[in-house]
Amino acid sequence: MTMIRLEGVSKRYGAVVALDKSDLAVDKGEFVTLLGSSGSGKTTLLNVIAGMIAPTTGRVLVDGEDITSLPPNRRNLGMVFQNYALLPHMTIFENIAFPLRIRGVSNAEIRKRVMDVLDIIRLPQIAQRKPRELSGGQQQRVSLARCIVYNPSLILMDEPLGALDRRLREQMQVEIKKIQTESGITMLYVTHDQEEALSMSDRIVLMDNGKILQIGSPSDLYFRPKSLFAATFLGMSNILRGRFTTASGGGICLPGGEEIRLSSETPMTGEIGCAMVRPENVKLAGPDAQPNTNEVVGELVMSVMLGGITNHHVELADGTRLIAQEQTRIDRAPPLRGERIRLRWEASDTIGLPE
Amino acid sequence: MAIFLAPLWSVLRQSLFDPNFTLNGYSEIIESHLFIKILYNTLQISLTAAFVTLIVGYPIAYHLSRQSPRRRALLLILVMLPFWTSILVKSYAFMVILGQDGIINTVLYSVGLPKIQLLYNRTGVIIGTVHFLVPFVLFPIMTSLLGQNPDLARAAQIMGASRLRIFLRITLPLSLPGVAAGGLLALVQTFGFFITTALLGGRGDLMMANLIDLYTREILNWNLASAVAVTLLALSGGIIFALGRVRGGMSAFGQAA
Repeated sequence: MTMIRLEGVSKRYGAVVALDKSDLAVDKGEFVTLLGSSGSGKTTLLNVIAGMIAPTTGRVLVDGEDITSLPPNRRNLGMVFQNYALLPHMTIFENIAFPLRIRGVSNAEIRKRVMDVLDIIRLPQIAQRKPRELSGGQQQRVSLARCIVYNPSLILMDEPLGALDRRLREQMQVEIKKIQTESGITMLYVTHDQEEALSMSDRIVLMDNGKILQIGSPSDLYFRPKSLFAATFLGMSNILRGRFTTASGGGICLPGGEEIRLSSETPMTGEIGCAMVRPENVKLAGPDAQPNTNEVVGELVMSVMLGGITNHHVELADGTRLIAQEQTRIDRAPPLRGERIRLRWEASDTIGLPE
Repeated sequence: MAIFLAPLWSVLRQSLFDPNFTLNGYSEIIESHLFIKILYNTLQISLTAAFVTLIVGYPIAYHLSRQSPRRRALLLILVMLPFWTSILVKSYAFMVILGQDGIINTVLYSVGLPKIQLLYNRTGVIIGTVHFLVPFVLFPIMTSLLGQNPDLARAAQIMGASRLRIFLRITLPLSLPGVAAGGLLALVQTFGFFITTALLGGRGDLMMANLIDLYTREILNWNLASAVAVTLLALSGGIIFALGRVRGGMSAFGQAA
């Protein structure tokens, strides 16, 4: 069931297009992330839904009802801010009770519901404290509880973990995802952090320059990007430029003459394009391995050990740099700098993309 | 520092020696009906003026806090214009506006309404005082309003709060330190008021500063005048001390809160 639907929504400021015509539908209970760098239009889109910005064109529907012209306080949405936006002069209890008091809920009911959500965020003992006595992570959990408590049709989250350090951010990602799954809340989450988007979302909406570029599951976007931008924005990627060949099955011919086979046919035969392969799919072939399709030769520039994995940076004759990712092994000597390296990968891991 | 302290010391000495050490000045003013009446007057006028100033100043500060920085700077200049004018000039200007044949009464008369007494009474004093004080309360209140995180109001709005509720439950309570600072500042200012009461007030509106004037120039009892002055100073000092303890209060003096 569709919880929220955007139809042809756009926003212009004079000649500047902050958000190009966009359509989006989010199902009930779904966790959807708007992913993009600053200026991509993701925050504009969020604010249009929240009612803070009136769209230039298009409609916003919640539960089938057109709310485009409703003010923010009549949309029954929830929003979590990066700076938590807890009311500093109220206790945590009063903060969470605030939306319930607006709705005229009885005192006994307020008491019960506030205590229930404090249990959900696993902070039952902090009801009488003031926001400034809590850590950033705790404040953000309270901020989420303040939304959950009044059952809004949708919770908007605007870079909610942006102010937290890395370790806490990862804990909170798990925590938020768990609360969302268990309570079945619909969430629209805005972030510029691709790892956050990949780890939490049911679906990711990739945005750039005011446009929605691709909508899909995290693995869709990671393994089947539809554009060079999507391929490079999410995770690390190796890009090989060349000309698409007419050979059946799809392929690309590199400037050095090597032929790279693609996972699927490309409609762009004869055109300049790219082949993309993820570093974890690229293998280092030993000197006596059989020649293979999808194989290139280059010189090792450096090997970077990141703990469990090691990234080998290899430069090809035409200057293209590729990264091959391997599990770090203590029992095997790493290749030396300047050594000639053969890299190979499967055709099924290779995506053809337009330039 | 010495330049500031020397006259203060001489006033304090004047109040205690006549010419030998004596507390007569203080005992005399405490027993004096005139002094008690005027102390009561002073407190009443100061509290009323400070209160009215806050009522008038808060909406102005609220409006200013919601303007763009450019527009706010422009509007602030308008607010500050009277502030840069001598209080003597302003008081005479008010005599023109409020007088029996002044602008207000002329307008009232021309539309067939009875004239009202606005000058030489408490009303005149309060109008003149409030006009002088508004800029003083404006800055502390505006500072505390501008210091509020705008996301608080946005969050409350999305939670369903009306504008009135946002103001009463969030904006107003969070600006109270600024209100307290502005109010105390206004109070201190009014304690020492002289010209406004002398020009716009009636005989029943004498304040402490007028009493000091009376003792020094007419009765020539400098011992008594000094005792009144020291009492006034102690009163103001007490309020400034309170101001320092209010959160954000020091911002009234241009310091970071």
